[in-house]
Parts: sequence; structure tokens; C-alpha cells
Amino acid sequence: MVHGNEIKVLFFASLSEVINTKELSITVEPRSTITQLQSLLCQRFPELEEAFSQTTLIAINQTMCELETEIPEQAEVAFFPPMSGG
Amino acid sequence: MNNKKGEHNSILISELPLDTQAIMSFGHDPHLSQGAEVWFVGRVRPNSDSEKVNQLYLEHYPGMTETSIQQHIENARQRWCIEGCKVVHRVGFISPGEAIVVVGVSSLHRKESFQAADYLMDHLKSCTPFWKKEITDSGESWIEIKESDRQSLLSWN
Repeated sequence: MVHGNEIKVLFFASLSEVINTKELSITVEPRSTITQLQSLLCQRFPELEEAFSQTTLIAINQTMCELETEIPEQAEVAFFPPMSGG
Repeated sequence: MNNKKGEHNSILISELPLDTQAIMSFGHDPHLSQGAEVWFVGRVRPNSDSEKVNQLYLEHYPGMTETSIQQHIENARQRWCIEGCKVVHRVGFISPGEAIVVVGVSSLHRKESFQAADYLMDHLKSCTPFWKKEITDSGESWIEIKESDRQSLLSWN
């Protein structure tokens, strides 16, 4: 039996406010992509659907990535809106 | 972090008010200030679109934010011959007039420091994991990147 991949998901700024959650753990199928993770998250939080349809940046283990990127074992995946510092 | 002699990076994310005078202390180390120093201090504006700003809230991604600033500094070092490089950024709730960010660069001649400081500020504003929220009497709103900021960033390509 193939075990799932338990990962940590972080949400920042407006995205965390949409679902009132900054961090959660979720188990995804091995070799899942970010797109597959987003679908899974939208099942749990339907309000994310609209948020993900706008510009959302994604990082895996604190490095920016794309929707097609495969999620490594025990990864930390972060979703956030465009940045605005300084 | 020390690289070669004369190359010194300093990055700090602070929840406490920034002591700008204490931060601007390259001059105490002769290795870091060999001619020119440029300092930029960004402060919270008291108004936004004619509305009074009560507070600004700044969120960041601990770890990734520091790594990202480090990368911007390394990129600046590839472009200009600079020595000391300091970035101090405030997070949390910040009041109007308080410093949000201090960027300092030193070099032998002024142009390198001016350009590198400008480059670092453009990259701190638009491609470092920070998010700003304005708190006014009419509510709270996350600040989105301005088109002018996007253009400033592109100008470095």
C-alpha cells in the first residue's frame, strides 16, 4: 500500500483571512502537484476557489514554484497574494 | 554575514520600533565605510487616498523573507561594487511616522551605493514576502502592488 504524503500548508495575508486559517496539515497522494493540492483544499474550503482564481503565488519549502510542480515528501507549501513590502 | 573583506551583509526583521540612528552605524567600522554611504528610511504615511491611516500592519514569511533579501543583496553585489549592505524591516503593527524599512549601502563611490539602495528598495517592495494592510476608520484593506512599482522592478531587467 502506498502511503500518502503529509504536508504542511501555510496561508498568508488576505488568503489566510479568507479561510481564517494560517496553517494546516493535509495528506496528498504521492507525486501530487500544486494544482491537485488546490483542488483538495477547495473541497475543504470552497471560499478558496475565488481566491485561487486571482493571482496567487506559491512556494514549496520557501522557494517559489509553479502549479505543475510536484510536491515533495513532507513539504511546506505556502500560498500568498502578490507581495507588498517596503 | 561576512563574505570577502569589506563585504558585509546585515539583515534584520523586527517587531520592535526601529532605532534608525543606531542602525546607521557603518561609519563605526572602517572596513564597511570606505567613501560613500547611502541610507534610505521608509516611514508610514499619515494619509492614504485622503483618508487618515491609523496603523499599518505588516506580515512576513519568517525564513523565506530573510532568504529572499539575502538573494536580492547577492544580486546587487553582482551588478555593483558595493561593500556594506544593511536591510532592516519592521513587521507587525506600525504607527504613522514610524520607520518601516531602513536600507543602507556603502561603496567607494556614491553612484554604486545610490543604485544598489534603489535596486534593493524596488525588490523589497514587490518581490520579498511582505504584505501590508492599512487600518483606517473605515476599515482594513490589504495594499496591492502598484503599477508604478511593477514598472520600477522591470526597469532593472
